[in-house]
Amino acid sequence: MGEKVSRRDYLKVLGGTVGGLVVGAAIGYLAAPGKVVEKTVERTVTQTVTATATPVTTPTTPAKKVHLDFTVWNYDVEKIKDNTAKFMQKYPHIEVSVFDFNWPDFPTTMVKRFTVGTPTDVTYNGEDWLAQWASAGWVVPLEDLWDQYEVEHPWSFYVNDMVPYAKMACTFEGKVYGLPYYSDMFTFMYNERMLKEKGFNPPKDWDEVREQCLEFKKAGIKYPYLLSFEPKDVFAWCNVLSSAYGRGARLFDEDLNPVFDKPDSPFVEQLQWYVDGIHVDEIVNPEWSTMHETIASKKMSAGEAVFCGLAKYNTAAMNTPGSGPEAGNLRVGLMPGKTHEAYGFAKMYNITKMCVNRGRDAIQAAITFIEYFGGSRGPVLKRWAVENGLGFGFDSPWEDPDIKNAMEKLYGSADVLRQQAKLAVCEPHPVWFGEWNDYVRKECLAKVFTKEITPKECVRLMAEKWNALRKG
Amino acid sequence: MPTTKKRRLKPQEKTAILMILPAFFYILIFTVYSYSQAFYLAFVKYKLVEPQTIGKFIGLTNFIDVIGATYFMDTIYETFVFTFMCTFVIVILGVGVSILLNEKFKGVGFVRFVILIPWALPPTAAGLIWRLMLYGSGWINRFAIMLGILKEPIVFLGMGRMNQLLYALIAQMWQQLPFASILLMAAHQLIPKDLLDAAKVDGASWVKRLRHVTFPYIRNVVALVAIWEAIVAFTSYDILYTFSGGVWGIITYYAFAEGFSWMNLGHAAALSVIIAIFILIMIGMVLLVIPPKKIYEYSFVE
Repeated sequence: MGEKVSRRDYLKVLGGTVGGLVVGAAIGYLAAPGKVVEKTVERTVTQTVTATATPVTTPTTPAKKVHLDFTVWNYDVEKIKDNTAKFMQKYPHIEVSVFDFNWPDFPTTMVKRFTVGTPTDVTYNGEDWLAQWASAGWVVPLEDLWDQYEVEHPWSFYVNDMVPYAKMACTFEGKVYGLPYYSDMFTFMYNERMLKEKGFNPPKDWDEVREQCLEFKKAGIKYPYLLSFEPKDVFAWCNVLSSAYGRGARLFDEDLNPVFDKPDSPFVEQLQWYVDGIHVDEIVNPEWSTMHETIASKKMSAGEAVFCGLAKYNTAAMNTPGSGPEAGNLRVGLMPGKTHEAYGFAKMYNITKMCVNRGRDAIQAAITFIEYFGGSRGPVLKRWAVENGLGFGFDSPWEDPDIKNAMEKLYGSADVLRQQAKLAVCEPHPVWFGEWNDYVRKECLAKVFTKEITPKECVRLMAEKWNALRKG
Repeated sequence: MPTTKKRRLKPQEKTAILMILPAFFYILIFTVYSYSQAFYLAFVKYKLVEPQTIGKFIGLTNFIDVIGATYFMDTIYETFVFTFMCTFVIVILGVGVSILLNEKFKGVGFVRFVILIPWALPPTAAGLIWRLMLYGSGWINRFAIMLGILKEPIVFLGMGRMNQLLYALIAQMWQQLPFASILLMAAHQLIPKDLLDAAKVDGASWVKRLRHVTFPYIRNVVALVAIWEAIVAFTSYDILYTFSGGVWGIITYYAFAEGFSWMNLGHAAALSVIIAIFILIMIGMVLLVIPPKKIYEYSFVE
């Protein structure tokens, strides 16, 4: 300690450090992903020329191995990886890396990923983010590419088979951007055994839900209706919206003017129903903000509640043998309300602009991958439907007896499901929808349920935000 | 024309310049450049979903937009409440804990070590730990029911935003108190023992000794800790983000949300500049209370 360092020694150390940094930076520069981007751009130019020169009718099969980066959220990742492995067995010239992210963080993670240019070729996308991602130029319309490449079925085969709400969910500015990975509805679920025991029929409207809940409350069930509303989760919004659709609510008119804030709006009525349910009748669980769908499913299987609204696939988890004493008794019913409509949505497979920039081989590989995973005749759609009970955005799979039987087993009546599917609604999602929706969940609906604001104040704020975003 | 003779740098001046260079480049790259970039973004349109307009100069529009946003006044109010409460509680408790830690008792070394553990935890973990503890089925409710204090669990996380912010304050305090206490304890140890003994012999009570002997010695450190804690609270993001389940926070949360949830980097940058202005004011306050010379000399005691 205290040893003096000479100027010469200091300069030696400094020179060494600076030299090291320069060498390190040079190595880092050569190895940096930015270099790859440069290469990609060069290749894109050449390959685009080749692609233009190649007749459309002569599909090309990539001679060399093509690598795809595929991003998903963390629903049954093991099965996604298994499906990917099977795909790679069938198409050995295509190599796929799967990157999974936590579902609630998926949109923000992907925004960061796209912004910094992390390689991504095929990605899951949702109807609520499609407009943003498409406007930003991160994903491209599949319909513009499909028929230029080697495929099993033409684009028209799939697009004509898509159910209307799923097609709407995959569409932005008139173009269809993807094939549905999973298309489903937010449905109303009930415990058939408990209802039968009381001599009740499945409730037809929300007044009836309330009356039946009060009876069950008297019988000792503390919160007969489970509200799952984690404000961070997009599904929280879908859940509330679906129940309002049951009353015939709409968010916008044809010109995208808000209608949810009109006097006697069914949307306000439904919000009031929840507020009264939580704070007046105490039939709705006050812990809605931490009631993730998996917890709600467990509580339904355990018989701790009689009714709930969730994405339909949760009924499959509730009815899985061993999940609880009520497994097998949970059914999907038509959404209570005047119109029985429900919110329908689609999560889809998209090709990214980054993939398109890589050129024809990468696009061909991505389209082959999407057809295998998202095509209505592909093995992955069937596997998700039969094993996990996931909904599909097409009509034709209902003709497959395996799928139909699986759906009946998991959800109850297939007729109710079909009827609900016909009544499902998906309104357009303009580019600012994601921002509006995030604001609505966190700043409006969460505050209504805590009674910080009234339902009327809530819709006023929602409309204000909507109009501000429209003006840009 | 008179010719001015260039003064040659003395060898030790050259050495000084060379020695400053690494720090200069560090500050240039990581402070000046990044701040300039944020400052630039605050004055241009940078909405990721509108790539065709990115980079267009729009003057103060981003600032006008964020100040006019529905959340702005609420979040400013909540940010100041949170900052003030955190600072006040942490400083008061910090002084108390530091007095205790300064006492000699068996196992004081172990206590001083254990008390630092929450500070060593990442804020993300601290927020999550407290969120889980406050669940309806969490440890606090279960313990209170077991002891017969509660019959039904309290739904802490289903309460209004301001109530939840106060619960988040507990998490912040739990995480920050150890560091404040250790800093204050170090200041306590600078007080000459004979001075305290003399006051005791002269019959000064504990309160009088604290007021007239101890406090003058630790006053500057208290001020430093207060302003440090105010800055930490004002810029809190991760602890509140995890505590709220990713739903709300103070002004820093909205800077994130504007950028990465709502994809408007221009708005995010404008909010960041506003935050930076507040922080600069706070730093200015530190320098007013304790002149820079004293800080560099580690000589907080007058």
